[in-house]
Amino acid sequence: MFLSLARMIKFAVQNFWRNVWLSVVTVTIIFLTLCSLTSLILINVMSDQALNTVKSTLDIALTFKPVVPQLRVEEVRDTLQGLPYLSVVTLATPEESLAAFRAKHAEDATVIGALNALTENPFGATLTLRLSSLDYYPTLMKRIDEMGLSKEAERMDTGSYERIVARLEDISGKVRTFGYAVSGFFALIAILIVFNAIRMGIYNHRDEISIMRLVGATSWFIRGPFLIEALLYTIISCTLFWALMIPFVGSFTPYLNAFLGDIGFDLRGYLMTHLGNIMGFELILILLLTCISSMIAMARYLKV
Amino acid sequence: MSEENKVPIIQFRNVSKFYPPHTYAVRDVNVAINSGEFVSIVGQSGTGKTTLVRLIIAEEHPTKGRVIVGGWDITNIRHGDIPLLRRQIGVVFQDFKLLPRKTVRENVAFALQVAGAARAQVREVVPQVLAIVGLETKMDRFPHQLSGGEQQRVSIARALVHRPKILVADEPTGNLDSINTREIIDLLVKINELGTTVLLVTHNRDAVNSLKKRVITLDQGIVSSDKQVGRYVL
Ligand SMILES: Nc1ncnc2c1ncn2[C@@H]1O[C@H](COP(=O)(O)OP(=O)(O)OP(=O)(O)O)[C@@H](O)[C@H]1O
Ligand SMILES: [Mg+2]
Repeated sequence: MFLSLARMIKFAVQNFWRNVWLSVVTVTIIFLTLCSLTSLILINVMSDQALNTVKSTLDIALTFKPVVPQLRVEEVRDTLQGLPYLSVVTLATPEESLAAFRAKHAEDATVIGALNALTENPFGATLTLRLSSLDYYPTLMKRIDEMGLSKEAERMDTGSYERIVARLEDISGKVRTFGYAVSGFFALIAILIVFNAIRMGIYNHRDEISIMRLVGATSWFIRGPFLIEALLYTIISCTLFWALMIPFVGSFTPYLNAFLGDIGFDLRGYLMTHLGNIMGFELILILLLTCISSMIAMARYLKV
Repeated sequence: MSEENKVPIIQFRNVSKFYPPHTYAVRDVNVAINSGEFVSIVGQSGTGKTTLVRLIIAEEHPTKGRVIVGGWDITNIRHGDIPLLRRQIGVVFQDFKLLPRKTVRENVAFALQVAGAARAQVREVVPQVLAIVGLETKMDRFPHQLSGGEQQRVSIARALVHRPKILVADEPTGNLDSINTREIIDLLVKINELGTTVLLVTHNRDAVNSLKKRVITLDQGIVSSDKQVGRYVL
């Protein structure tokens, strides 16, 4: 039994070397499939992370009308500060709001000119709220309505929040679709290449195979080497891929972090904690892929 | 052929093999071959000799009738049982079917290895069968370093590794000159004398006539003569 297995493995390895260039191409294609698959997984995780970051750092500004007295503003602030789900509450006086606006538009002569033409400060006080989690967004809105604030203040950023999230979701959706398409494309090529490699193997071994049949080798003994060959392709590509991927991610992470800024996604950390899962998932997927295509090749070309 | 060996080891009962659209490769063949016999099968080209061989090793199934080998009805043999049957029948062909990149020893060992034989068994049996065919001194040569007759002897040695009760040779001398032919026929006789039933398909008139053993003649798929001490008559 073990002896037969050893002989089948020998046969498979022999086959691998006899067509070494075809084997190299096969391994390369599976490698590329792994690249696109892993990128897809990581991009998925990163875009989720980015979305969460945008959602959780969303500031909501309540801009009061200038007629609302300072006392009322402070009262509102105190009430809101009491809410457990608001993490930060800052209050800007009308003067500070004006100064902030001026600073923001310092370059724009038209805006500054228009502002200077006014005799009164057009700004009211501004309360900036930061939610501890976006899940509380509806609760906060309800609360603001209950306090009758809709008449006294204008809520800002709602629209822009929705736009940002929609935009991000749109982009990550497109990236995902692209990722699926690329992975699917490579998977298809991999199936064809493995199929062809096994077909070539069967062709090159046709004499051995016919002798094996003649002298009474069982059909699983004849088929076994070709399945083992598929296994060999899988193991070699996966090993090669992860041997290169892990150091690559390690050196790439600092650049990525610099690029992502406050999204703060630790790619390396993520990969290390989920390495087992990702590897296992991909190994099973590639194994299925190679085994199925080699079985199709055998069904087609190996009559035993 | 001794009297106590008269148990049929191969039986064709009313066997026909039809290839669509209109070829009967063999038709209504009724033949019983006893254990220990040496039987020559002759006939013109395309008269169904190879078809009989293919039926015995279950490479083909009869369209009609039954084929029984060693008491085992293989007419509708299960696919998974075919290897078992093949280990009981040694087969030799005109074109030797040796692997060019393996030595004599490796070619013979291959037949045992792929059938799951243990290493010790391989080590023991390979020199034995090579001694039977007289090639014990050329075990490490490659097929291209051997004469045609020697190559055929390797292929006979390979056919013997499972100690088959039956040896089927389909035109084993078709590619050989008369001296090598003589040697191969003598070897088959020797193997027969060691107790193996031998079925020899041949076109070689001299060989058949000198054997003075049973001859079955096929004519367009039909057994036209079956003589215990036959001659090559077409
Ligand atoms: N797979 C097949 N499909 C169709 N016809 C076949 C097939 N195999 C054999 N035949 C036909 O069956 C007949 C018998 O063939 P077979 O090979 O048994 O002849 P043979 O007696 O061995 O001839 P030879 O002496 O030339 O080897 C021939 O007419 C051949 O054309
Ligand atoms: Mg023939």
